[in-house]
Amino acid sequence: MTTLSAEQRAEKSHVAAVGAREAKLRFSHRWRWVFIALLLLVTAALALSLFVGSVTIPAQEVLTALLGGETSRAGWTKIVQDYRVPKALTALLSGAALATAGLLMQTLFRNPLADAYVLGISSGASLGVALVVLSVGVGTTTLLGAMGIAGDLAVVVAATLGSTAVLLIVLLLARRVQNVTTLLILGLMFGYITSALVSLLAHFAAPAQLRSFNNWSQGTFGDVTHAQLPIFACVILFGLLISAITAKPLNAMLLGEDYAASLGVNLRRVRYLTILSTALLAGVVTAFCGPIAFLGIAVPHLCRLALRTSSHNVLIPASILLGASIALIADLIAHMPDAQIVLPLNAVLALFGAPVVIWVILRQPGLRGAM
Amino acid sequence: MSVLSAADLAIGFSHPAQRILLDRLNVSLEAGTLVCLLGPNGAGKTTLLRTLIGLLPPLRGTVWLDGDDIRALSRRDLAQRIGMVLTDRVAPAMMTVRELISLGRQPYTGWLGTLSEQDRSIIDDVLLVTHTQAFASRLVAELSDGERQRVFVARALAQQPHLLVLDEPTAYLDLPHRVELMTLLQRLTRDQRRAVLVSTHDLDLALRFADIIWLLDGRGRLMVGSPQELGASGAFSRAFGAAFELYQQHIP
Repeated sequence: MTTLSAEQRAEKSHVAAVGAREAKLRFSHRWRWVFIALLLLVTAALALSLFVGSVTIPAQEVLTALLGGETSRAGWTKIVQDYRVPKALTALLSGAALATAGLLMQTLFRNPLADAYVLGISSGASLGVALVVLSVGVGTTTLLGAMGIAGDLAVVVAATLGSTAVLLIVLLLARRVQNVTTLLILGLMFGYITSALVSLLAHFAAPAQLRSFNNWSQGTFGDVTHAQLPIFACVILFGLLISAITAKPLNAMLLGEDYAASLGVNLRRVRYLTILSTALLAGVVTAFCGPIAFLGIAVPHLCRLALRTSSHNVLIPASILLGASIALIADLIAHMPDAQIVLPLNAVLALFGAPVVIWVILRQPGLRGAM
Repeated sequence: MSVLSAADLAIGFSHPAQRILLDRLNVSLEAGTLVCLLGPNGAGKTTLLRTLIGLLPPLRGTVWLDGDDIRALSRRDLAQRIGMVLTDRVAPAMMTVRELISLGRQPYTGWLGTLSEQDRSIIDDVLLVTHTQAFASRLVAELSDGERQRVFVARALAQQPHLLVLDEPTAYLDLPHRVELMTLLQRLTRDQRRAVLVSTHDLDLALRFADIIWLLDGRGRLMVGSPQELGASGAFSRAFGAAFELYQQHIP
């Protein structure tokens, strides 16, 4: 563009200055504050879930237990170290994983109401888990407790395979069915079918297994043990890493597949990587924590709203932070301090998530073009 | 050397069964020219465009881009040479005009898509050339049809393409915005020596703005010539039939 006149050059420098100022403003004023707020939120939520729980333990004693010291009551050390720490870390990782998986699904299907749960991908993972656990026939207090590392890995693989299978089927259908609502209903039906198969399997399970299975199917962050945490964390970090390398092509996918291809995006590769990432993230969380609803669908929308952008470079880290915070807070609410009852996690998440979904639907009557 | 050329090209679909839409096509497109692709519905305009830009494989023959076989070019290479405006009316929620145009730099940026100083300068250029600088920070979803179309041209220009291809860009626009868009495209050929290929239904606009017209007659033939040549040869009435005669009687 060598043909700019002096006047045009002056105007261009003005445009550039305004653009640079705008870009700076946008980042410093909105994005920076949102990210600071998110970091504070996740820190506060993490601290709260370590210090507050059904059993009241003085803060000083919790700190001692966290640092590996001796508390004045032996039971407190155990509660903090073996229960609160793994539960808080599980909630943190699960929230990050489900929110990111939801964001990836919404872009891949160009559908604002997509997430791993709605599209039946979590149910696929459940089916995989049920097949392994119920056929191996272990009966313990927790669903995955007695099988050791090999069993954990088998369950992770089964869950990932189950979620991949459903994801591939839904994706195939999506090529055929352009309509957003139809696809969601198909996903819902898949969810029902796999859930029915899971119930059928559960029918043949031993009573002890069944109890832990029911517990699991309500959604809980409390069943992941110290020994399982490393596997859980590694799979999720790997899934998040894959999502990071798809951020750029996913930005192009926001314009549709033809535009993305015209920008040099290898569609097939991006699709596979996104599927792999989602299947790992949603699969492993479902395997260990049960099917968890609403986190994946609601968090990306809240992030878009707060940051006013569709860029995955910004939305992925934001979804990780907000997803982790909301999972921790929901778990806190489920285990109210001093309360005798424990609320089902999915009920708490529905109270938070359903209004967000309703808002999305009301704001986009046609739904198409919302992404 | 032509920006784009094709020799002995057969286009159509290979799935489910091979169906040739157009055969033995020979076309070339020079830098600095505005070509309008005209033809009745179903004549194969979109298929021809998609084949020429590498989105569809030709059934026979070769498409050459700057002298290179289009099939031998990498995705990135292709994206640096061809910019497109498609018929999809996409408007992602929560994306500003500047963000949308920045996507056009993807063929040049690294794995995270971070923009360099040079990328930013090119985006500023493009905003100026397309007169979109005034709404650079607005959301794409809030633009009018005319504004959005210019923004999508800007996005394609950010790829710094030698060839700009637009599929029915004037379809949703009212007359002033159609003229505005065609004027912009003409300016790009004159000032920046780009080759521009536009498919359109708008015969009137094509006759006014095109340097060359590619006319598909709906019976598998492609006629090439300046608006005057094609008019004199009676090609339009053969392609559009009686409707064209009627149309001609109504213009003074």
